[in-house]
Amino acid sequence: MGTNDSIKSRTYDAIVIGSGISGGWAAKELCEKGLKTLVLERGRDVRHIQDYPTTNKMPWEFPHRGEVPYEIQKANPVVSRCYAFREDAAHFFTKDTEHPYVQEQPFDWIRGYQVGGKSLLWARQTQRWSEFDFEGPARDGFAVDWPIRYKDIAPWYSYVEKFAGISGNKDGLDILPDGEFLPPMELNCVEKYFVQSVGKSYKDRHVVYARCAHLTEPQPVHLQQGRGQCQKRNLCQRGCPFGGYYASNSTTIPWAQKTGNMTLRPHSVVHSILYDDAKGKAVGVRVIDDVTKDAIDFYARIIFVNAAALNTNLILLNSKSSRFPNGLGNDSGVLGKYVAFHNYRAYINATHEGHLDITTDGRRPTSGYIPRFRNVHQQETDFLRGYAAGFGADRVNTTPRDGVGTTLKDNLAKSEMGPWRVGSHMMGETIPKESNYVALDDSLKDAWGIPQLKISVTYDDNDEKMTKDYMEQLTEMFEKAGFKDIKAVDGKRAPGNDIHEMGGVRMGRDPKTSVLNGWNQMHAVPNVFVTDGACMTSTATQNPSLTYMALTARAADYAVQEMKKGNI
Amino acid sequence: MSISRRTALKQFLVLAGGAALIPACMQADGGAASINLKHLTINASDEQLLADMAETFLPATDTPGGKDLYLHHFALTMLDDCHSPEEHKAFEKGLDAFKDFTKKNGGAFSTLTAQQRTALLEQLESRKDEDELQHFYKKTKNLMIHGYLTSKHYLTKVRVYELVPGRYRGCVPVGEGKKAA
Repeated sequence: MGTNDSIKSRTYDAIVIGSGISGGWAAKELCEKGLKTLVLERGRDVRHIQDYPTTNKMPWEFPHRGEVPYEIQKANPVVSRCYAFREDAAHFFTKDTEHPYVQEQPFDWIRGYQVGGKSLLWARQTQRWSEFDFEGPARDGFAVDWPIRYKDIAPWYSYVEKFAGISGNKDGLDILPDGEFLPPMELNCVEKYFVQSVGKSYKDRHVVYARCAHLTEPQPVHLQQGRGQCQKRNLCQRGCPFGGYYASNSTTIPWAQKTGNMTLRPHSVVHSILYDDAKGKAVGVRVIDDVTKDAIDFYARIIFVNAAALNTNLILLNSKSSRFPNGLGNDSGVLGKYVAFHNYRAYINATHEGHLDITTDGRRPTSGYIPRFRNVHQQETDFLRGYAAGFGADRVNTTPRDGVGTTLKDNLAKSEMGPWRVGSHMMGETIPKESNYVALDDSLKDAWGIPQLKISVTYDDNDEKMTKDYMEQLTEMFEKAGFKDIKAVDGKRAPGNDIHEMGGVRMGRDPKTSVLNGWNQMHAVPNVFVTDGACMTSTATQNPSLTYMALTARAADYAVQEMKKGNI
Repeated sequence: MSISRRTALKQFLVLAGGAALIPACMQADGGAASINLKHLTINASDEQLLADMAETFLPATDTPGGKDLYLHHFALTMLDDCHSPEEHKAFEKGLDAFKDFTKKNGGAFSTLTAQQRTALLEQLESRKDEDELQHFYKKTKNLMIHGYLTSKHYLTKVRVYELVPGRYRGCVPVGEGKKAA
């Protein structure tokens, strides 16, 4: 095969880097619009159902009953701090030892290198942003103004919600806009009691059912995807054999595959995006094949970067050319900077002495949600922005363990119903700052010859004050509900452990202070789009994946229109 | 690694007899345990002792006992794979302390009658000291209980684990709900 033929065989209409939540959406949208699309994934392929090896295992089939062996934990302290890194899902997590990075400040970088990425592992919470969130930076004077508002993204929220399948309740709150919802699962009696208690005690605080990406009542489009109703197993991190929750593997990737336009290439570690000075645009992507270790270049008219927030930063920083010596599209110098995350430090637990004649039955893969109530309409505290919170209640069954012999055996057959246990955790907005950044390490490289990422992200005084406020306010709300044994804890977990890292390639109105415009398109390289967490100008308090899906679908639509117009 | 004749024979006996007693000639201290361990130093007689402890904690009645359910192997696996080197040392020391304790109170554990074994463990159950012996007792008991509560027997016969509940009901009168783990 001649060189030209070879180049031709490596040329597509579009390249999508990454196959996780946002990459899956980019693949689906671009393929549906008729573009021959190459999807590059650095990890192995994970096919829906057949590559979920633990999904139907019974508890006793796990030799360590869920625990990850000591030596693995010791060798991989970062990933071991993730709540879902357990024996049933450890194979979907990236081990620290295989993919080192440099922590200038403690940062737990949790990754899932495989087709589907972290969409197999996410907590499936899908709350819409509100107008208050998009206008936040402009109102409060931090970061830069978002180039879009709620009205720009609202139709795209609806678009992705209908396809992904979101279970929710229409709550009619301006701080947490309603969407296209499948029926909610039930809040339990004690959660409903707390809803009422908070409603009585506060005008501006609400407890609602947390919207989540579960098919409570599959619609024709979901059946067409080959997915079925959520069976309330609450074993989602293993991969769901019913396709009961949204994962790229069950939803967008097979959908893109069905168009006949997608080429999925696992084991393809992206080294950089190739920029052609003469053409004045990006022309392709350089990949290190993880199997052969060869460098291979692929070419396309447009490139979507969806490698997950920090790896997207890494790829762009490593994409150097004479036009962009400091990273692709980095005329402003802000690439890699203004990284932010969600402050998950504090949580609170208590018991509830009432409702002893009531319990729950079955399992539920979601919980309650307290939308942000601080500084919503105006600044009212000594810290900026605020926090949302999860809330849940369950009845604890305890089994007595006293005695020896038949006494013990009889005891272990008993189940004594204890009191209700209630709990909440905070999800605080952090303020993007220049001093919270990622950069390429000067000397250390990874196994593929790519510079290691150096992460320098830490809490600030605003986060400290907000953490304290959450603990005080939730304690008060719990006290007003009459909960007992209230314990508010600052767990001091490191940034990153929230797995909501965002920014570094932010959107903005001004090319001097941002990398992307209002269409997630690079100001300086119009045929490159970044629609994963890296694009985020600020973080709000909502779990961010739904917003990435909506931004991706919106950007893909725009990109194809621009291609048709001949603009890119 | 080749399986020694002795180990193979022992495994055969265990398989064939379930709770079959292993002949005394195989309980010599020097004999290797039938379970492969990376860290813990446990010989055949230690293994036997732990099996007897499992059976004493949870004796076979009309339902399987600790030995049938291999709770001693489960405890050893968890200790070996999921505990720290410090815990390994503490467990080994505690095991020695337990052997001393039984010798001072009637003889080697495996030579005692079931009633004597139960009485000894009950003595430790109510003992208040916090030393190697007590640590060993609590650790062993907790691991065996953990193994029991997550065993196939327990989760299919005592409290049925539902892999696919298919439902969540948030307000169910106590006593009405299905029995679920």
